Amino acid sequence: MKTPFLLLFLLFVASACFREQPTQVDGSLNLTLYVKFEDRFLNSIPVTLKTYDYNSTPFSGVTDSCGAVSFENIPYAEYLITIKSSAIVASALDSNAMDTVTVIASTLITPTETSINENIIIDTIYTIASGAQPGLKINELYTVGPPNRSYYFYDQFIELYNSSNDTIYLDGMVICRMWHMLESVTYIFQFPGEPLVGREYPVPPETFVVIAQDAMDHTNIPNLPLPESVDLSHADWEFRNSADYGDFDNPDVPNLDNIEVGYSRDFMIALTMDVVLIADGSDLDYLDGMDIEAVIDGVEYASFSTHLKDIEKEVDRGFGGVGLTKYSGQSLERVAAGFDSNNSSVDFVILDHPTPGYQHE
Amino acid sequence: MFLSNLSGYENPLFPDIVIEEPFSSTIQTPMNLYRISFNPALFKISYQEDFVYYRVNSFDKINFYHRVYDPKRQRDYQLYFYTHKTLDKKSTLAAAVRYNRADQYDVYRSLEKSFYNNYFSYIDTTMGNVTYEGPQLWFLYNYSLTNNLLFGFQIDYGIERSLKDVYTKCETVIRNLDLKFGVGFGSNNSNFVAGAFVRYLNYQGQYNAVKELQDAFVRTYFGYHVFRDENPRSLNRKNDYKEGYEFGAQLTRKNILVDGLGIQLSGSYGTRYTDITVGSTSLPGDRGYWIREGYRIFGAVFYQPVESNFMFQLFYEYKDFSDWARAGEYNVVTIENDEVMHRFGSVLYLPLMNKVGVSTGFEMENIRSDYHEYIVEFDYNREHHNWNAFTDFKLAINQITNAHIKGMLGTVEPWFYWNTDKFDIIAFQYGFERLFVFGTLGLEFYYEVWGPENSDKNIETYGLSISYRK
Repeated sequence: MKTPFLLLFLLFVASACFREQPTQVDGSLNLTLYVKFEDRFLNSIPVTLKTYDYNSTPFSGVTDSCGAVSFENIPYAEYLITIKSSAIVASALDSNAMDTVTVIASTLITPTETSINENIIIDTIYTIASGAQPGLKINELYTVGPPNRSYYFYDQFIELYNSSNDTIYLDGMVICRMWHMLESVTYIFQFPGEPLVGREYPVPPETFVVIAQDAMDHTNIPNLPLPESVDLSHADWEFRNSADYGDFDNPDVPNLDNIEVGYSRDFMIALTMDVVLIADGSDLDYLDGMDIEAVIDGVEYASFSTHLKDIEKEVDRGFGGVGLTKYSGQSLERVAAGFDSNNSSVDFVILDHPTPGYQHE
Repeated sequence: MFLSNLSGYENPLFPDIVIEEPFSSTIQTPMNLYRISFNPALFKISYQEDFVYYRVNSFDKINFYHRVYDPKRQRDYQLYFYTHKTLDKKSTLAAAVRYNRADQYDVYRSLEKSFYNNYFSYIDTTMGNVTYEGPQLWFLYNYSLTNNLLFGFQIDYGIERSLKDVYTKCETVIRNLDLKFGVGFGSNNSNFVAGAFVRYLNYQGQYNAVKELQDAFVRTYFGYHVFRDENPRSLNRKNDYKEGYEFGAQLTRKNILVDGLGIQLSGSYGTRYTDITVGSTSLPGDRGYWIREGYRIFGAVFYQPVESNFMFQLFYEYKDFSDWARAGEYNVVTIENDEVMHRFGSVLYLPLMNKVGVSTGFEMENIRSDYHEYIVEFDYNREHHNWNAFTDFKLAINQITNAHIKGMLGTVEPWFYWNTDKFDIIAFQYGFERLFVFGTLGLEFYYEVWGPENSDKNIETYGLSISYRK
């Protein structure tokens, strides 16, 4: 009489070992992606899928006229989707015109339980203009000088911001003032350290870096009271031209030095119209301009709306600063820390007063 | 030749049933119910005389033809002790200890003892020699609850460690437990015996690739074609955990219609799962698990009159199991395999004269394999037809010395990863035993060659065994 119960008990114990077989097999995932830039679906855009879960070769496809690309019967895995392609998009400055810009996207897609059950993932990939990805950004440009009648603008500063999740190292990077397009560099100052591989000057994520033309308290200059200027004596870096013996040098602030042969003045930028960019230091041959691959971020600004662009649209599709007034104490800062759509026309706002080392409210 | 049923390292869900007596090459008996079912409750009925057996083995297997991750050469050494003893009218005790050492030479990348026996194998970047060693213990206790009712349990336990002699210190450690409980019923005249058992398997293995001051690069395979490069780290570890159950029942009936005619039947159902995690020791990543589930039926008819040494046996085995593997992070099947095996064979022992006997046997098997990898599609669906035949001359040289010469021919159609359609097998064995006052000493030589159809290179195995029994 006990034997049937014993057998039932044994079967019950064994059933812990029995696991239910999934209904889906691997290699049956159908992935459809819509590729979008701003409000428009993009056609003829190459899309690449790569997984590090398996040794499978990357999958490639091109978006159709609806902006969709499909990958059928691929393994269930986490995919890195990368897009880098030229696309014809609406101009940032003239809504009736079209521009050719490089759009990029890099995102991960992971199958969910629902997608496994239904065998399909449909998603939209939002591309951004090349240069708009998180990273080291020129976050604020203070160029116009404080209210004064002495043509004083030596309190200029550039504020950088690390909008990425990784620590970025400034070693060997350069900051340039451009003349016309990337082929003509006006000034080029370099951070100390070895470009690309140096690890001496870190910028943690979500950190500001203030680079002063002269790292001093500009509000307290003897015989030149400028109460609406800024105190830059605690700036992080200071532009310094070793060939300019009269250039102020705060011994407590490290320097970026000029590397342009024969140039003997400080890093001064035009008050209401100019281009400033930061590059990774891989291209130090400034005589033939700056390679676009070396550019990390660039900002063009001009005080009047009819300005013709002075930098390639890959670097900045628009320009900010329309309405800037010389010697007004105004500053040009991104709408939010690190916000970048690679279109300075919408990325920047004019502030009444500079905010070195922090973001305006 | 050197077969025994210890499963302290690899505990297959359905252990192979071998048709020859494991303890002697000069005795030919029909398979007993214990040997076809491994039910510990039936041991007492199958082996009634006390027995002590020692053996030293050595094999040298030279793989002139080999798969990518096979060693080019393997030397095995075994020290083996086995005994069973009837303690009293009710109790029988059996125990075995085996110490194994296996030296694998020129192992390309693999960190597995047998790369192709796993669906989730593990390799690194090194080529070197690996030494595996460790003991296996086996213990069996059989007790008569009443005159007819038997109870038995059996424990297999083994520990094995290995080290690869390369800069990446590749170590493996396994621990294996195989427990079996059985009950049996024997009729008063011993013509009818029936039994049932339940078996529990538990296996734990660790495969470590260690590099100090550098990172060890390892890969985990999913099947035989797709792999994943694991994150390099100074210690990369694969954890392999198996657990399983088997339930079986069996019966034998002797002296049916005529004296010496009998039948045996055995069947079992089993399931086992294998969990695989890989990566760091503290937070290993889930790489999936696989399940094997199936059943086996074995039947034999034998004829061995009591008054004669003549023996004839026919047997048939049916094995049907299926595997499926699940991906680590997603609830999908990555591998499926269905295998159905039909095996049929016979053994005849014919005493020719008083001093000479010949034992001859034949078996053929048909295995249908339906194997699928789904991550990157790979399908393999094929029938394998294998056969082998042997003839064994057994000669009583004098009253205290026996000798035997055995030859075997066969073919095996291997799986796709062998890159050949067929192996032709030739084996030769020569051995003799001499009775001394302290017991029987035996010596055996063994040579086996596997020749692939499409290559001049062979797999050659040489063996030497010295045994002592009483």
